Amino acid sequence: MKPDTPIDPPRWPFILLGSFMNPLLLDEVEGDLYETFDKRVEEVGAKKAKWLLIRDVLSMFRPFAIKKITNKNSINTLTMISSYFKLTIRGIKSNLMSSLISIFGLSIAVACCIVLFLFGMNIITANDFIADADRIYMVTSHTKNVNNDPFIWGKTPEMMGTTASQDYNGIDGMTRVLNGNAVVRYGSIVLEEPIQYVDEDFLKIFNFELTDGTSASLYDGTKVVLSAKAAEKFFGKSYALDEELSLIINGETIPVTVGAIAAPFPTNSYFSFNILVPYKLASTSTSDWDKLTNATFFKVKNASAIDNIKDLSGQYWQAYNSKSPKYPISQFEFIPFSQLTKTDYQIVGSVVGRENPSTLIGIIFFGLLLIFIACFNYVNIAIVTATRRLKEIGLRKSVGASKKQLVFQFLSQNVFMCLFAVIAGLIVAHVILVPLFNSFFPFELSITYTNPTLWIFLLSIAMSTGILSGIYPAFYVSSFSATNIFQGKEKFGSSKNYLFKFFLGIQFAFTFLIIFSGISFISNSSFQKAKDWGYNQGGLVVIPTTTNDQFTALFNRLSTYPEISSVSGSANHIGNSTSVMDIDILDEKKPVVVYNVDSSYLRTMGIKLVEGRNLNSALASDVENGLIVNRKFANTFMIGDVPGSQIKSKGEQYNIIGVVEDFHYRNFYFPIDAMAFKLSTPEQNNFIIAKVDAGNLTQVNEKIKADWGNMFPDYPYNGYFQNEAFDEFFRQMSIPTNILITFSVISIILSAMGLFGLVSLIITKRMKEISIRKVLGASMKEIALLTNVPFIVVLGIALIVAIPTSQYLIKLYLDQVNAFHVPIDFTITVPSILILLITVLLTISSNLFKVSKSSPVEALAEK
Amino acid sequence: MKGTNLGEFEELVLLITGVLYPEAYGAAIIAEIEAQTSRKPSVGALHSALNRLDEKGFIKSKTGESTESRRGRKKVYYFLTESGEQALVNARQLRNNLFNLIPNISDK
Repeated sequence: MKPDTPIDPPRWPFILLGSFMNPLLLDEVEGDLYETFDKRVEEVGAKKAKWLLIRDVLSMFRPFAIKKITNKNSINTLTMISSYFKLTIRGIKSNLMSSLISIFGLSIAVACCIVLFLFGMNIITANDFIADADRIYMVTSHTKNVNNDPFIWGKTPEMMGTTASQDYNGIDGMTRVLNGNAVVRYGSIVLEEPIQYVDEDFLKIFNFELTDGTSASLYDGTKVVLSAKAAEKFFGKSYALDEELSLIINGETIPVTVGAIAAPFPTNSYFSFNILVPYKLASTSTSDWDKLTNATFFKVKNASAIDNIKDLSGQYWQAYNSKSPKYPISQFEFIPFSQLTKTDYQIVGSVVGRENPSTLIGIIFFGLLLIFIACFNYVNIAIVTATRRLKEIGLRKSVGASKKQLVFQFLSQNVFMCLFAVIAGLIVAHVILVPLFNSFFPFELSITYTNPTLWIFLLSIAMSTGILSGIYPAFYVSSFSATNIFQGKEKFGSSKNYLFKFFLGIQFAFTFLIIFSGISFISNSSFQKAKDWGYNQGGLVVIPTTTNDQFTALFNRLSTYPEISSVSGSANHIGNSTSVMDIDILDEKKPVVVYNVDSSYLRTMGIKLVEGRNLNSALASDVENGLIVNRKFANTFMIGDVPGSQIKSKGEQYNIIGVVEDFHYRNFYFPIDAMAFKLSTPEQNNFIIAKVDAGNLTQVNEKIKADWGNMFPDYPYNGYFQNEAFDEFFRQMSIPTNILITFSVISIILSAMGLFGLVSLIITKRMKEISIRKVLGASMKEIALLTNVPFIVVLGIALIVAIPTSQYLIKLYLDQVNAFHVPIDFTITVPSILILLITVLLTISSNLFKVSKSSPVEALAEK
Repeated sequence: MKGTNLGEFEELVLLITGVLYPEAYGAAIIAEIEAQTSRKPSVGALHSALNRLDEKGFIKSKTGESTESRRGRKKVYYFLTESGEQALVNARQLRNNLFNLIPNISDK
């Protein structure tokens, strides 16, 4: 039964249908849909019927039913497109200045895109040179720290690898990786080098390319494998295979031969080695379950083999836990090597290493901002240029161009423009940006022109920026009516001007954000460089030693130097090594950083004692259980009079005999936590810290080095200055700073250029008005005010929004990364505003200068 | 012409087209399928099947009148062609033959 008033189906599914459906079928299908809909309304209700209708419309999306793209007009289309191309070229020629600015701006944005793309590709393809990455598994340990926070650990019991490969079939290979250091000697070259102890299967599992030798050489047991870098260090360009080296490990000299040399690692390699040394040189233990290794890898025949190991791996961590280690393991997780590059930053102490991706995200964020600025730039100029073509549009409309065709024309011309920009951007990226980024980062990016993904990417950039930036201007101008245009009613500067001002404002705001972050980072790095560490960093030479004999001999030698006012020894040293002590606070264990030092350490380092007395090695009670704590320790854990109070750790009682002023024992990423000093025994000491009072620090260091060379010719001299101890921290900090400075400069240039183009276009349009004003006696000042004010208003509004937003964002970022950073206040805000303001004013004034020179007669004489 | 295989849904549509003769058009076929079987084919699935059947030469179509419920859109009626009929007969033949070859289907 038909209801009296039939419920009408929603209209939009039919509009959708009409948009893609073959018109030959459309009528019939629409009829069917209507009829079926009515029937369903009766049977299942209106709501359900609507859903079924939508399903039916979507179900028509099939090849046979979709509009055929007819080839009928192919010749016409080609002619049309080539004519658009010609028009684009003519357009560029007739507006040379603003077109070049647009293209240049876009090309810089494209160049940034390319760098981001290379960056991304580098990350996505990370370690892809390792074959069978889905059959290689890394074992990770789930454990908890003393605060009971769970973490994933790269370390595993050393015994697990060997035991598991005996216990299971289906394992193709197993290797452990243990990081260590050894003194490596070849002839007269003696260097302390990082080495990796690995099992025989290492090169069988990881197919690193070798330039010389075979992957079988690790089976020999007396052969080592060098990376290209290590080989060059010892042998230069000469042939290194089968050469003899000696390794000094724990004071023992072991002769080895070079079994193979690896090719330089690919740029996307995040897993590499320096010198591969047979594992048995590190340990041949078969029972020490609590010994840990840095990584254990299994290569299995298929995924089910790893499930077998997983199921039974409980026995291994139980064996390990039974030795009551510091970090008991609750579970092993087997992560495929192919997944590892995505998660490795979460694994504590992973040998497959990359930093936290936050820096990267930051870079991508700012890259996108730049692209936005360039696009808004372009949109603004495009709107203004398009309004100069009003007559053309009117004519096209009169001879029958539909709105659709006009939009298509504008968009295709835009895409052509963007193609030019992409080509220019590729050149900019190749010549300037990629080398620049490579100088900031420890790894190399390079543009591989044979990579098809790159070309697809570039083409899609051209298309998407062309369409995105062109869509608004295209619809804006093509919506004018032809009669209005010819009557002169349609003019640039109508109510839609607000949107244009809005775009301009956004552009200003983004530029401000980038300038602001650049200045914050610069001032933060100088703030941190100038920041007081809380102790005396200057004039200190630190010499790590390897044996106690070395320590004693050098200590005595240095004590005779007239230039050195005090020499101290320690087992740990600020900026180099620490130990940790768990202290009992109520029922909880709190980990506290402890430095084991001799009694003169505080004096040598210039650490200020504020309460109590120094450690005294002559007092047995101080040697046994005396502690000096920092103020933070005292404030956090102690109540009342601190010197004389006691704390407990692992059942032992410690006396706190003094309190020192807080100082930065770690870099500024970290806050100052509770820490303590304890007396070291003379046998433990392996750092010598010498305070140089007189003479040149570098000369004294050279003198020590010469003495060292005479005393221990087999060992490299590793002495350094304490104020260099945190160089790595500053180097790391300089990476984002440099990038941001580059981005800031680029964005200022972009904004200035965009504004310049914009202002010159607007002034040209208002030339008649300005000329009449001039003729009637307006002064230059009045004209300047007249043209400047609208921009200044937009700038002002943009700043009102951008200043608090930028302050908030940058503070958020700096807080995340640094425990100590420069305060975000007016010292950063004011220069940022000034830079932007000056740029804007200069740009506008340079245009006004042109106006002031022009004669009003010429402008008015034009038709 | 494409292959002359008959898919399961195609066969169903072909049968219904025959059943509804001479009143077989899109919405009617859908309604009939819904009535005869418990399935609710989408309009897209039906037209796709009709399109394939047409390509294989099993059906032909004729534009008809419109109704109020179709909001003025004309009906398109479908008819079995000779080869369409033959295809149905063949399919049935094949089924019967195979069915008879099954020795004892109720046996456990």
